[in-house]
Amino acid sequence: MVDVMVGAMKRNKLYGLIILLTVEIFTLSSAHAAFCSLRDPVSAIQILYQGDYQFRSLIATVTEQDRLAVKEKLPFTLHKSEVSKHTLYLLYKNGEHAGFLQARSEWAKWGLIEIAWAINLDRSLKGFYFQRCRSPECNDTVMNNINKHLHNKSIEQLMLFLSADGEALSESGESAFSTSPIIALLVLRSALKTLAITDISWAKDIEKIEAGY
Amino acid sequence: MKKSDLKCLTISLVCSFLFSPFAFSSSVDWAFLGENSRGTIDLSSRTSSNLDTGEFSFLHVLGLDIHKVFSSSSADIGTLMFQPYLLKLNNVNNPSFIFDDGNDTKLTWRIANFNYTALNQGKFNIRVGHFEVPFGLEYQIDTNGTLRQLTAAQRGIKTDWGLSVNGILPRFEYEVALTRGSGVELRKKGNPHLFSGRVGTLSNKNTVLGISWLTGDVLAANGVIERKNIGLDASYYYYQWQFMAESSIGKVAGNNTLNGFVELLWRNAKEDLSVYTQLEYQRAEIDYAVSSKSDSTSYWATGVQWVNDDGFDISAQYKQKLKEAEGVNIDPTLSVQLRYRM
Repeated sequence: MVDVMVGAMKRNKLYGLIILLTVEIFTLSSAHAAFCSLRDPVSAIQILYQGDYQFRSLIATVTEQDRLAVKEKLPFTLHKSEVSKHTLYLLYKNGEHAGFLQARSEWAKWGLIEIAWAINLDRSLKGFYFQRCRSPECNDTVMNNINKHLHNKSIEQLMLFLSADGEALSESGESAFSTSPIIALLVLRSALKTLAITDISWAKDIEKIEAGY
Repeated sequence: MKKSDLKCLTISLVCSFLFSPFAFSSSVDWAFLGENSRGTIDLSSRTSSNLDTGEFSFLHVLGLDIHKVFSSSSADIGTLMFQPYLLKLNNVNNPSFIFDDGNDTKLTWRIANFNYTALNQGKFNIRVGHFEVPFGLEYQIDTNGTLRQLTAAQRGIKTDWGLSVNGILPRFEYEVALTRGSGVELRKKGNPHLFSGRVGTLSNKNTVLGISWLTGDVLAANGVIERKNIGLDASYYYYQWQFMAESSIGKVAGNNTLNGFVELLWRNAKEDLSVYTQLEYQRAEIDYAVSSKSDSTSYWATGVQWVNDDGFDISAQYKQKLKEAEGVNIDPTLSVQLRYRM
């Protein structure tokens, strides 16, 4: 009888261990791409900041709390897979801080689009560049047309291009982006998330820069 | 399947699961590396089954992957990549010459280099250390530690120790390297050396073209072998499809060679599942000093990889010969790998 009970306890421990391991494996956060595949968005920097600019990396951890903070600013937030380390690039010209650049991913129906965002010092948009987009629709004509409407826009101004729930273009958005509405919607959502997360996850760094040290 | 093989497989699977969550997840704090750094522990177990003989072989890997950017007050100075990996073979037939035998354990360096980037906005950088030999498709796709491999085997060298200049410009990218020719290990035996390079259009675009070259003496199991190669590669991405091809001509120990490789890959929209099929062809003169007679080897492979958001990765690949040249042996092989990065 005792042997049977001990056996049952051992089995339960084993099942418990297996369940715990499975839960752990599927809930831990980590970085699954090998770091040798990381590349600075050098061509995007050269295209978006033409001239004699230098850049400095600032790596920060985007946390679950940051995701929730974005949700308070916008009608949507980042994907949970984005809770990890990300790089904000600080642009300098003649030793003076001149802007920011951040590359972010956005889900499209055919996969990830990676967009490099150039951000002005006042955190309005300077412009964007498709780092990676596997649709032929992401061409220079579409990019230039969307860039024209986003240039120097703040979060509040960009929100006007979207519906209240952020899932569609507003009337003014449809009129501005009539030739490529699907891509424009993806780009707008990416722009808003980028501006929001820059202010949230790099808040302390930006404060220091603005204070001049 | 032998009882001992089953035991090894069980141990490898259990190790993959056990090591990952408990041993390190909560205890490793990469903050000790300082600002602008990333670190991860990389664990994997791979089993390969020779479907002709029924034999199983195993490869267990424990590695560190560290990435750190050094910066001044207004510019990045350079990037350090540091990837020491401990490899344990078990029952492997014909292991690489860097191993003593098919049950060896060895510390290797996957990638370990410093890329000095402070010179000209990323247009002209200088890399020193251990890095991938810049040639063909391997240059733009990271296949380290995965079952899916591209064309490095055609050249007999994938990574090497040395120096390179590299950069990215608005319309193209390049890397030109002078390396030791000794591969994974920094060895002087036979005085190998290698000059290689690739110039191509931007690798993040939907159409990528590149030209590569390689010339020198590469260290192999029986000493150094003279190799020369010039190749063209092309990649095309269309929504969820990826098509890649590479072709090169050259000489191995004086014998003319012709190599070809094509791959078709599909990934789902979430990009956590990919399926691919590859076809590889190699033709080489048997002995140029005697005659111009040549022989060819070809095979096909197909594989699948699933990666979840938490760094867990399961992949499988089946490889089958189409034709074997004399003295070449390609057994039908099924490989399965479990990998976890935390």
